[in-house]
Amino acid sequence: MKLAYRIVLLVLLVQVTATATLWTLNPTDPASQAVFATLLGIDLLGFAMVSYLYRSDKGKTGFSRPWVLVGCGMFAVLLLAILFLV
Amino acid sequence: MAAEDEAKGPVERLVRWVDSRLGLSHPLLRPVPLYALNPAAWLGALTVVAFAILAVTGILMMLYYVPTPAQAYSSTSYIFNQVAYGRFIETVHLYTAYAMVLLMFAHMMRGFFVSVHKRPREMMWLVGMLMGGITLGFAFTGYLLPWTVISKSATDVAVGMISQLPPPLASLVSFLIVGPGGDAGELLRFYDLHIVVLPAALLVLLVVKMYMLEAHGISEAATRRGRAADKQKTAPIFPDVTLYLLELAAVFGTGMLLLGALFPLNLPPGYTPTTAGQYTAQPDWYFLWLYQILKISAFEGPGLAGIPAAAATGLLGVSLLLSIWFFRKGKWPLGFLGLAAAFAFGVSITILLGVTLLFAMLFLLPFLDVDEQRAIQNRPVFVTTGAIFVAELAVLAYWGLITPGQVIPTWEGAAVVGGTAALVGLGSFVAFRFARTRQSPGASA
Repeated sequence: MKLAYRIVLLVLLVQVTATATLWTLNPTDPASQAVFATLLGIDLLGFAMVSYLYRSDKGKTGFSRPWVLVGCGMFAVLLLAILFLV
Repeated sequence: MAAEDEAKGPVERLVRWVDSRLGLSHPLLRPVPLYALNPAAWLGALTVVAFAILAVTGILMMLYYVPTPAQAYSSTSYIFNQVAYGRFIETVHLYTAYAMVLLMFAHMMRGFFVSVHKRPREMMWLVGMLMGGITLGFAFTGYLLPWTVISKSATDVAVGMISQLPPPLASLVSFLIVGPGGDAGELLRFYDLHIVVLPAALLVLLVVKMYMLEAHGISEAATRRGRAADKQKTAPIFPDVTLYLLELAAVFGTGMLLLGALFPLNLPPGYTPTTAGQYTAQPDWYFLWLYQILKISAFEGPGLAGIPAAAATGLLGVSLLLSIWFFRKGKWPLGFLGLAAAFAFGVSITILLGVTLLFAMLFLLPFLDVDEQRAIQNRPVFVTTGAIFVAELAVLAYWGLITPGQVIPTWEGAAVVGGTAALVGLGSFVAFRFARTRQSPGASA
């Protein structure tokens, strides 16, 4: 399987997990609201990555590894932020 | 054809289906040159994305907010503490509003530096300037609505600044935004402007600007690398450009959400005349530069636009003429010195005439900068002026932030404004000199 597809699968998995977790939060608790914002951020970032990989694959230019690494780094920051906020 | 479709993956087939049903790639929208697929070229689009986020979060808050002095703060507090995700919505609304002001400013200054205002896009610049004014209007009117001690005091300071506009303009603006109804009337007008008048005006201007953008296309590249790129290479509006823009919007949204998560808002105390006395009032950050100018002792109070304004205008003219003459003679240091002096006198006039002139000059830029030159390295006068403008705004805003309520002696104001202009002018001179030396290594030999 292409590397791009593997990354997309991983991103989709993280997005589904983030979306499922959203529904478990207490909507009036300040800490939960901050976690909600972070999980929503993960979903948005995931969309951006999947879209970028799709465009790269369609354009047959291949994706830029530094950009994908930046995306993964941002994912890491968001996940760390959740740990910090909980 | 069917075999060809069969060969494509399911995602590609879905994209084609959406496209064929919605007509997204119909040649109604022109394709975009590949050199324009970089984030800097889409700052205006991101400003619109920020506006969309503000509209959604604003509508959600509108369901609970009550625009009366007695209930504004309590309804805001209710949204904050009782409504599901209320604190999150308020935080994202505020940070996105700040981001919209920053993006608007970055979009304008980028346009200034890469010459988007030149023929045939003069009217686009004028419409964009109006949209910029409306964006500041959004920030100004929205800040009062929570009716906290900070927001009300800051708005009072900003409304006070209006009295220093030239008299007919001051009366008109004061009537439009404050009205005769005291606190209740003021809050209601701000609310109406914020949720009806300004969004409607912005949307109309957005449509006009988009129409002109479609007519003229994205402006030509101002850099050598961009010009070298083949202009015939374009990307279709759907799916390529649409997805690219959505990616940028998603990354921007992620940034806003992360900021909101890490630095959630805390609601300051509500406004009462007693609590207001305990705070040193200051406008919000995007008006700090103006606040600082008006704190300079020589310019406090209205009615100063007399003899000093005439003298400063004369000096500005002389400095500009000398600067142009020196540039034409190839005497760059003296040219830049003249330009810095002209800017200092220009700032003085601007102060004296109530800042109106500065915006008039920016507004009329397409008719002042009429040269066909687009490349940054060939526009030293305008690029240096733009750099000085940005530096002055930053310095004045920071200075205003650290000296709340403090009157600034005139000599100190002149030294900081003039010194900043001189420093940036000198830096610009060195940068242009260096760029010229690199362009023609044999020229100095």
